[in-house]
Amino acid sequence: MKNRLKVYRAMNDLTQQALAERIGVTRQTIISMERGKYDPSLGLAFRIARFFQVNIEDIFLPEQEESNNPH
Amino acid sequence: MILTTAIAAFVGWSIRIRNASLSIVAVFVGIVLVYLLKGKVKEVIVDERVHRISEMASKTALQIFAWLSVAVAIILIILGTGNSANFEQAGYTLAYATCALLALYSISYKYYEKRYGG
Repeated sequence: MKNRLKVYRAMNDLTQQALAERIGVTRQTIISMERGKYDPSLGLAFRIARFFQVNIEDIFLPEQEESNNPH
Repeated sequence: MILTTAIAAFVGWSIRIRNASLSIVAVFVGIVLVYLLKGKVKEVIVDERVHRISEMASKTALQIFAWLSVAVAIILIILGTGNSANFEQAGYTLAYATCALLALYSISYKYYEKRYGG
């Protein structure tokens, strides 16, 4: 599953470590998610979306939307 | 890591000097120290990703160990039949231990299946 985590992190001027601390995960988890190597659980995905004050679909892109969405 | 290494070294030394009670005390002290130091760590060191990796690693280790154990047990039993009773006994012990491991896995699986609404 692709995501725009790095984009939202940059928009909020946060380091990976800072974001990890705010949402209660390790920095390595943030790195893995940004690289698309790790898909978060539903609970964590909602926590991230709530933190950035956006909808979950704005950050995480389900697979069928990856081919439709050129961004 | 340092604490684990120190406790392991101490246990090894206590076994060397044939004093089992020292090793038990060392393990107990290690557990207490880990518990006390854990509260002092502020940053998150274990999260859902670490748990998931641990689950996958455990499952892989179980699968590999079970197959290897069965293979080794069969080889030992074949080698021991009619030749060495020790090999045969070791083979049967390993086979029964593997059966016990798989039974424990099945029981755990049933427990978690019920727990998570199976």
